[in-house]
Amino acid sequence: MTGDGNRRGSDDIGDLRSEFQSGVSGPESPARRRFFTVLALAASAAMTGMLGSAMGILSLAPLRKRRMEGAGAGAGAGAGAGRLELGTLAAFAATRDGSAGPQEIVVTRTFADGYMTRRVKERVAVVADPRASAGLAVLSTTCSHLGCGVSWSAERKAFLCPCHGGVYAPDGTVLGGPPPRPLTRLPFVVEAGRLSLDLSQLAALSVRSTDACMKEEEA
Amino acid sequence: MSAIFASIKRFLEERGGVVSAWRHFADEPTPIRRAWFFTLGSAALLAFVIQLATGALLALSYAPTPDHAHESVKVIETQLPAGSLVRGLHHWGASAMVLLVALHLVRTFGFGAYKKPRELNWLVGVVLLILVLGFGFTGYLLPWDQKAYWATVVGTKTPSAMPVIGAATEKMLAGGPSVGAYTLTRFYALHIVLLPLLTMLLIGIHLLLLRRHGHAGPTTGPDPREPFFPYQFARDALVGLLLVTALFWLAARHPAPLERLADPSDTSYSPRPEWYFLPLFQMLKLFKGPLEPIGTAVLPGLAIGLLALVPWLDRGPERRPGKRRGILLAGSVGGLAILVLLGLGAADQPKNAPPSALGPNAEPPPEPRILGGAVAFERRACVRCHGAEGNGGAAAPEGFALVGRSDTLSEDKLATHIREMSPPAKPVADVPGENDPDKDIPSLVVYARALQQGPVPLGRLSATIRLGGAVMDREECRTCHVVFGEGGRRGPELTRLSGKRDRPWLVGHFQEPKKFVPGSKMPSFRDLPEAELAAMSDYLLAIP
Repeated sequence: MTGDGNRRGSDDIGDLRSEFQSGVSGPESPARRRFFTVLALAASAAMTGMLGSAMGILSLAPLRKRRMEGAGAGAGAGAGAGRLELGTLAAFAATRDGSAGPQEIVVTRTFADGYMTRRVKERVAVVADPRASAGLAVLSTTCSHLGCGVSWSAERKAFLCPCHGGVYAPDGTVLGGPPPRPLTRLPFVVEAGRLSLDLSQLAALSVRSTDACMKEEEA
Repeated sequence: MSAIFASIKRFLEERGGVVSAWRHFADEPTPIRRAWFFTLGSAALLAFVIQLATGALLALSYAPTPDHAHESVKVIETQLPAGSLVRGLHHWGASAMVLLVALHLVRTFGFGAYKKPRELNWLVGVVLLILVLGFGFTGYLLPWDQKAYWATVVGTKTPSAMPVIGAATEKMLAGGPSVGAYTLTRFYALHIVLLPLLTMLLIGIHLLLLRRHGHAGPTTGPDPREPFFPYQFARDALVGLLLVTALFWLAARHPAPLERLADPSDTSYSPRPEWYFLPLFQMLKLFKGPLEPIGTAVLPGLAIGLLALVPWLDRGPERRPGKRRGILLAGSVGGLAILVLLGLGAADQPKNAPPSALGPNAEPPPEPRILGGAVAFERRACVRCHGAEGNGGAAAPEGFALVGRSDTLSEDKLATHIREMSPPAKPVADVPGENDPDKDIPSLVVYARALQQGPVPLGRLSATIRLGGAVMDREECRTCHVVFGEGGRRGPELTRLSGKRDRPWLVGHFQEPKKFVPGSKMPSFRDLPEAELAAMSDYLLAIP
């Protein structure tokens, strides 16, 4: 608002007083109307801006939220810290040497989810992988297309997605359908003859913005 | 450009009558005299709109179950960006709305604006006042903290003294025989669905009736008018800006409180209602025993009834205050009575604020050695002579209470006393090489010293916090870390972690420190049970 505007304002109050004295509404003065219009719009904009910014920041919170895939509690007995045991190596021997197909394992994971701690069951597939030292790989069963759950078909010797017909080879590569990428390989460790998901690595993979984890990945 | 605007304007006018509707809205003749008095209604409307917007946003992150409500509010307060600000706006907006609606009512009463033909609009206004109070009553249960729980217990029990319908009313309010999960979902649904819909409907009728009969204007003298926009609109907007600024200041300076999680076993808690329920609360104290229904039902019902009947108690076209002495006197007496009750209620407030569950005001947990000492106290069966929490107890010989005991043995003598009088029932730790049965004595000495200073109420702490502190004591975190101002300096001081870390990070870090902090020299604690690591995390996050 300029000094010019203020001067107009005080003139207008003068006008107003004379209106009171006469008791009738005089004809509208364009200057007074302009002054009140600017005032009305400026005050409305100021309060809308204040409220809008506070609420805008809160409504955009989901964009900032990192995925909380924290270290989960192990499922079975003997599961080490930050590990989710899938089974003994011996149990996967048939898968490793190719005499049996991939094995699907259901694991229970506990993690912090916003205002609560949640226990969820997740399904992973243990498949043969001649390049890995253990001869095995662990695949996520989440389809890379739109996130449906894929399952192993012993007949067709492939992972099939029930939603849009995605087909994956036993090693997770795409054989057909809409999936853009192979099935995600999950980090695992072999300790004392046991195969376990490495949950701290899993956290590192999904919580990409945590700097400590980034360094871990680079190392 | 202006050609485009003109054609858009023409389109909207031809197809929807938008421009002429705006003209009709904007050109309403509005009084010039006393114009600032007439901003109260629109300020109350703005407060309602702010409540709708902030409330909708809070509902996105709130969980209406007894298990999660408190934690979800805590997450809004401490973790979501601007969450505390928006909740503060909602909290103070509620008070502003009650205040503005009350001032609007007083203004309308004083100006005699309820007279023919505006009686119906007065009635709608009275119902709106009740709805606003309903918002307050249902709203403050939602955080499920101590105040929420106990104020609702009292609030729902209040009608139970009424004859015949009392018990049924209480059950209908609480959704069952007592305040619980169904009360919370009930109040939530009322607060965010039913009350807002009713209020919007009635505000719509209120505004339509205002436009139908026109503005009543000042009581005497000339009544020049000018269009609503931009003149009265500008005044309304200025008052609105003032309101919004005040709410921001309050929300930033005095954030909405969150007390501890509701604890139905806490018999010491004295529930205090919000200021706008204090007159009612205070009146309940005046009527005891069989007279109680007078305070809970008869007088409030009478007050609302009389308020609703005002247009018929003061009939005739006269609006000048000087000619309406009778009704103004009656109204002043009623208003004064409410203010006196409010003042008495306010004077009766307890001096100490109840403990908060938030921020730097949150009561810090006792230091680890006290919690470790309390575990040793139990393990060594000190309870037999000194009573639970050192309070003596019924079975203990006289003079064996530790609380408040002034004679102080030296620390060596105290340690000797513990070693001789109460050998531990089981070893301190199952860790190999850590079988010194008296390892817990130093902590027990610290605990005994603390008891001598006064009671150490550990019962209020959650089980995980107690366990976490005891584990930290047993694992001797203080060797390398400063905890509550004492300890080694090899590692970082353990304070104010709650904003920076969360439980998964801390648990993972205990298990594999180097993975989370490259180059960390901290040993791994992966041998400890997961529950102990989680408890330690909770304890650390509770340190202010």
